[in-house]
Parts: sequence; C-alpha cells; structure tokens
Amino acid sequence: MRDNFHERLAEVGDGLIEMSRLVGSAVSKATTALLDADLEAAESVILADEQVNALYRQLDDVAVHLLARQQPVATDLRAIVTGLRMSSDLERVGDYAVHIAKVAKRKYPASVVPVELRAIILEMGQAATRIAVKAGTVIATRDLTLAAQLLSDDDTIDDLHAELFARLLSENFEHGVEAAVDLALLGRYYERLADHAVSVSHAVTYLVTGEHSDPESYAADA
Amino acid sequence: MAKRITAEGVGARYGSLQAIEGVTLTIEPKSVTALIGPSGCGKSTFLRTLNRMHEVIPGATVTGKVLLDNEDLYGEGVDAVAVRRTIGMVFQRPNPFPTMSIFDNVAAGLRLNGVKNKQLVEEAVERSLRGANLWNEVKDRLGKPGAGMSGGQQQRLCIARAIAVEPQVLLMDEPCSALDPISTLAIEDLMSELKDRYTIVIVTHNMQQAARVSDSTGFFTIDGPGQPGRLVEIDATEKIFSNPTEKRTEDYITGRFG
Amino acid sequence: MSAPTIEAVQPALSTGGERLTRPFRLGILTGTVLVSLLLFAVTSLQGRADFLVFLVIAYAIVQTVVSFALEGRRYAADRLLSLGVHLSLLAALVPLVAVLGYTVIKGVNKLDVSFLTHNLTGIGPLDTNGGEYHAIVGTLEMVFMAIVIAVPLGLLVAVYITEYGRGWLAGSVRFVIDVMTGIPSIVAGLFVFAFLVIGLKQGYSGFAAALSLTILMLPVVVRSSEEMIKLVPAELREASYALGIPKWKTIVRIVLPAASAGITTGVMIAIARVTGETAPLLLTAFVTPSTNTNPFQGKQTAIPTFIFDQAGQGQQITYDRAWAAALTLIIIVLALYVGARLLTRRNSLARR
Repeated sequence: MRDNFHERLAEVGDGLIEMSRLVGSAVSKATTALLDADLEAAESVILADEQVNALYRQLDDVAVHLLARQQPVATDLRAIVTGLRMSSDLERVGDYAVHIAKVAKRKYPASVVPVELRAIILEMGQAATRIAVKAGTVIATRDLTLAAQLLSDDDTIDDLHAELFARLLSENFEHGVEAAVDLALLGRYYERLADHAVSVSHAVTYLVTGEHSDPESYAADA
Repeated sequence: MAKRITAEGVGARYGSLQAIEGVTLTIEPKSVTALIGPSGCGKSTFLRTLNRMHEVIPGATVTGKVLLDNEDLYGEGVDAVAVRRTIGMVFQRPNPFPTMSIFDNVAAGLRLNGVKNKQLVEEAVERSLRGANLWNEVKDRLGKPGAGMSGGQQQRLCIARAIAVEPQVLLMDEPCSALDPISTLAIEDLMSELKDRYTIVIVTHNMQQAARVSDSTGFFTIDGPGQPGRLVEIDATEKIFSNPTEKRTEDYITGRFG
Repeated sequence: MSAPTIEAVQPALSTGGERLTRPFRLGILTGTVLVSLLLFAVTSLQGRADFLVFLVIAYAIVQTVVSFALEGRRYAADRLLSLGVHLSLLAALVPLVAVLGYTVIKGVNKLDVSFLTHNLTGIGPLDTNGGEYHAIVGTLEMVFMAIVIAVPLGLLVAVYITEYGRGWLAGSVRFVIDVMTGIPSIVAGLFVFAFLVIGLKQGYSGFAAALSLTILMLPVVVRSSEEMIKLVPAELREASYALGIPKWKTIVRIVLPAASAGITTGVMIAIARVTGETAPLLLTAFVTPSTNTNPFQGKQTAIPTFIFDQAGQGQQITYDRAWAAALTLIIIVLALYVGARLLTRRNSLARR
C-alpha cells in the first residue's frame, strides 16, 4: 500500500546519498587544490557545487509536496523532516568545500599552506573527507555504530583545529598576518564542515530511533 | 464530572465468534482517546463494551472488567440501562429521532428518563445545544423536525442529545464518517471543547483525525480472519504518530499494512 | 474480418436517421384508426370491444415495424415496451374508476338525508321510503369493536414477534398468523357462530360479528405492523438505548411512532377489508329491518348485509337502496382512511 508515496520517499533518500557523494568528493578535491595549488581542481569544486545546490532545492520541493499531500507519520514523517535537515547540512558541507577551493584559487599559483603546516592541513583534509563520506554511508545504511564513530572523527578534527591555532599564534610563525588569517579560516572551514557532517549522523540517529541523541553531544558541536 | 475508565482483560463475543480478547487499557478523564485499526479489528466492539451496548445484540457476551473510576460496570447488580445513562454514545450515522422536533430530540433523554420539570428540561436543552455549537443555528426552529437539518448539524444534534443527560463519558463511534470535511472539522473542534468536561473515546477510521483530535491513541488489530481483535498499544498520540513502540502500529499508520 | 472485438459493443454516438417524433406517432395512430374503421366497415369484423383490441394490436405492430425500419432495433423494442406499460396502467385504472364511478352514479340518487336517518321497519319491498340508518349504526359499532380488540392486540403481537420473541415460540406465532391470513371469512363467521352464537347460546349480536371481524383483521394488522416495525432502523433503537432509555419506553416512544405511518396504512387496509365483509356477519349478526343500538344483544344489520338483503329482493327500489348503501360504505372507508392519515401526520410532527 501507498507504493507511490514510498517510492517518492525513497527518492529523498537517494537524493541525500547522491548529495553526500558529491560533497565528499568536493571536500577531497578542495584539499587537493589547496595543497597542490591545483587551479583546475579548485574550479571543478566550485562548478560541482551547482549540482549540490540543485539537488538541495529539488529535495526541498519533494519533501514539501510529500508533507502537503501524504500527511506522513512515524518513520515516514521523521524521514522527511530529517531529510530536510540533512540536505541542508550537506549543502553547507559543499559550501565549505567551495570556500576552501576559493582560497586555493585566490592564491594561485602560490600555495596557501606553508611547508611546515602541510602535514596538519593534509590530516585535517583527510579527516574531513572521511567524515563526509562516512556521513553518506550512514545515510545509506542507517548504521548507528558508524554514526557514533563520526563523533570520534570530529574530535580528531577539533584537536587538529586547536593545534593549527596554536601553531598560528606561536612566535615562530613567520608568514605574516594575511597567511595567518587564511589558515585560520581554512581551519575554521574544516571544523565547521565536520560539525555539519556530525549533525547528519545525529539526524540519522533520530530517524532510526525516534529519539534525540545525547544532548551533550550537541553541546560539544556548538 | 468526567471519570476514568479502566478496562481489564475485556473480551467480547458474538455467539461463538470471539470479536476481541484481553483488552487492558486506561482512559484518562477529561481527554480524548482515539481507537484506530483496520476494519474488523474490534475497536467498535470494544467501544460498545464500555457502555454495555454490546449486549444489546442477541447472543453477544462480554468478559473481563470495565471500571468507571472504581466501579465495575459488569459487576453484580449493576443495571445496564443506568450504565448507558452515565456513559453517552454518538453513532456513525447521525440518527435523530425522526418523529421528534429538534427540541424534543435533545430533551428525549431527560423526558423519557422521567424528568418532568419543564424549566429544567428547557435549560438543559439550551445548554446542550450551546455545548454542541448548534444553538445559534437552530434556536429559531426548535420545533422543526431534526431530520430536516444537514448531516453535520444532525450529528451535532445527536451530540447535544447525548450530553443533555450529563454523562460522565462520551463514546463516539466513527462520528464523522458520514460527514463532509467542513462538518467533520466542526465536530473535531467540538470534541476539543467537550473534553474539558467529559472523558471522550472516539473510534475512527481516519488516522489523521485521530492524530488531530486525540490525546491518546490506541491501536487495535487482528492477526487474521476469524482471530479475535487485540489492543496492540496505547500511548500518547504524539508518540504513536511520530515514533510508535510496536512495529505493527508503525506498519499500519504508515500504510505498509497488508 | 477476424473474430468480433470489444469495440463492436461500443455504438456509434450518432445513429443518424429519422426519429419517431410525436407528430409522426400521431400520424401513425390516425392512419391505423382510419384503416381499422375501413376494415370494420367492409369486412365481417364488428363490435366496439373487438375494434379496440384490433386497434391496439394494429398500432403496436405498425409502430414497431416503422420504428425498426427507421430507428433500429433498440428504439423499436423500447417503444413497444413503453406502449405495453402504458396500456397496462390504463387497463388497471379502468375497472377502478368504473367501479367507483358506477357506484356514485347508481347510488347518488337514493342517497339523501331521509335514507341516512331511517330504517326499514315496516317497509315492504315496494315502498320507496325507508333507509339504512340501522345498517350504518351496525357497521360503525361492529367495526369499532373489532378495531378496539384487533389493533392493540395485533400491535402487541407484532411487537412481541419483532422485539421480544426468540426461537420456536416467535416462529410458531408467526406461522399461526400466516395461516390465519388465509382463513376464508365465512369460516371465521362459522367459528364464532358455532362457538358463541350456538355453543354459548348467546344468540345473534353485533359483538359476535365484531369477534369474527377481529379474527379476520388480526393477521393483517400483525403482519403489516411487523413489517413496518422491522423497517425502523436499528440505529434509532441504539440511539435510544444509549441514552439510558429502557427497552419498553424505546418501543413505545421511539419505535412505534417512527413506524406509525406504515402501521396506520396496514390497519386501514385491515379495516377496509372487514368493513366490506358480508358472509361472517350473516352468521353472527344476521339481518334485521329495525335499529338495534345495543351491539351485545339481538340481531344487527351492517351495510354489507343490508346490501346483500336489498339486492336479493330483486326490485328496482331495493337495487337503488343497495347502490346507495354501497356508496355509503365507500365513503365511510374513505373517511376512516383520511382521518387516520391526518391523525398520524399530527402524531409524527413535532409537538411543542
């Protein structure tokens, strides 16, 4: 029964998985663009974001139509409400990837990241890519164990972010204020996009259990 | 005025057919409790055990206990007629008495139960019609037959008739299933007003209606043809419609049933 | 062509062609009448009734043939059936109107105040005065008593069968009532005659006649009331029970009023039936030319027995009396019917 409705609802899920795939690859590419001063990669990240935004708007429309016409309840209702939230989070993740790519593009052909900080940025980029991809997997599988793992990945990024700040503020940072501001922003972008990915995993937890995750974990994201 | 209903292991039979079995639940006073479930799940049968209307049908029997506050409605020496005066009922199809005027319809419960005082009856009729949001529409034609009104008005007349005898509990058996959407909303509004004074139990096929009007929702189902209906779960309406505990409830309300 | 397809049953929306319009049909009718007249003039066919039958058959054939040719099979069949239905209606109405009209024409001359206020005491077969006063009194008293006994009893039995009766007892009551419906009226009269008039040595009386009428009325009242009570929706009873109204009050105040219009019709049919009964009255009240207002003692004439008596005497004046009495009988039944209808209407309307 309600086959048509459930097919449309599945579309929302498929759209989210597609979005998470797109933003995962965007984060990865943006990191490459940044570290390798790769203009082409940066441009492709910026271009690909259009696709993410289009998907985001499309999911909005489908969700509103389903709410208006099908009065979903229980899991169906939570799927749509969390779907709206997740697509908004994923869209933000994509935006941060674009911000990162834009920083890389602005400094091209120079590299934004000084050699001694490459390792830490690379690690942040890898952790961010991992968390974005995992968020996609959590959406697809509704695997709550994996959702919990995202929190530890987020902790890694938070630690790296703190370390980056310490390095920027240390006396032997010798690349000037402008570079420091850029690097601070980059750190901030990675940290924020990871938070949005974590928010996706919270949404999935709510979708599956009908209950909100431990409120303290929200406090930690803020 | 409103009282709590507690059902303990209520079963009901039509002759040799076990219609419901082992229903145990509590219905809180001054709230709306909705009973939902597929056709034939016994929700209407259960409703009719609450005011001993079930046994009106030849061969129908009830087992278990139904407590109104602390009094067992099926206890020894309890008069079924008295129970029905205490627990009013509104039916699926509006059924005003065709030979009576609007006024007489509302007054019927009082007059036929021996209330002779004219002023008392008139006051009760006006109060009940106001209570059913019908007074302004009919005050100028109280002497006209009740059958001449629209379906929605007739149903509100039946509600007025039921509350005229000042019951403790109001049972409604799919009260909107014969009405158009606007009349349905009028009845739903009325329910939320009436719950300040009465305990209301409503059986409905319309899940959205249950979600709109009720404070608690109970889900009944049957395992298969010939099986007795059972209560699957009863919980706060918010909980049932956002995150029911039982998978069978979830399957039913999301339309994945059967 | 291959095997017939489903499309074959989908007709063309426009059949085209002519229609048998009203003027067209009038034309056919006129033509048929003229031809029939001609045939009756020149051939050996004759007689008014024969002419009518011939005309109807001829018209039906001509119309069907023309319609079939012009409009096709479906229209032809429709017109033929429609013609048959209308003719049947006419055939049913003719005797009704004829009986009523003939009675009025034959009876209205003799029906005057004097006829209504005098009896036949000392009136010979050839006297022109005298009247049916004693018969009207007899009929009213007998029918009234029969109503008083049969209606409440019949209603109670109907209520028993529909509302209370379960199992074999209700079944056998219903069976006995059904059998009673088939009792010939003369047998009812014979029974009362044997039991009361002869057996208990009560002699002829209006009361004995009323009893025999009761036997005839009872099954009709029971069966018609039963059907009407069954028609009252169960929801009304439930609504009443749900208000805590006891069962007997529900029946008296809700069910019976709701069924009152139908019950009245049934009772009226029963009354109309017994008002015209003759045979049982001859065995139980007999006939007398004088007025007897006491229904419990002595012979009493009723209108039907008056008609029987007068028509049997074979004089013009007694025929006239019989027709006038027949007209009176029809008027009385009609008046009872209208009265009962008004009564139930007032009953079923709101009183406040």
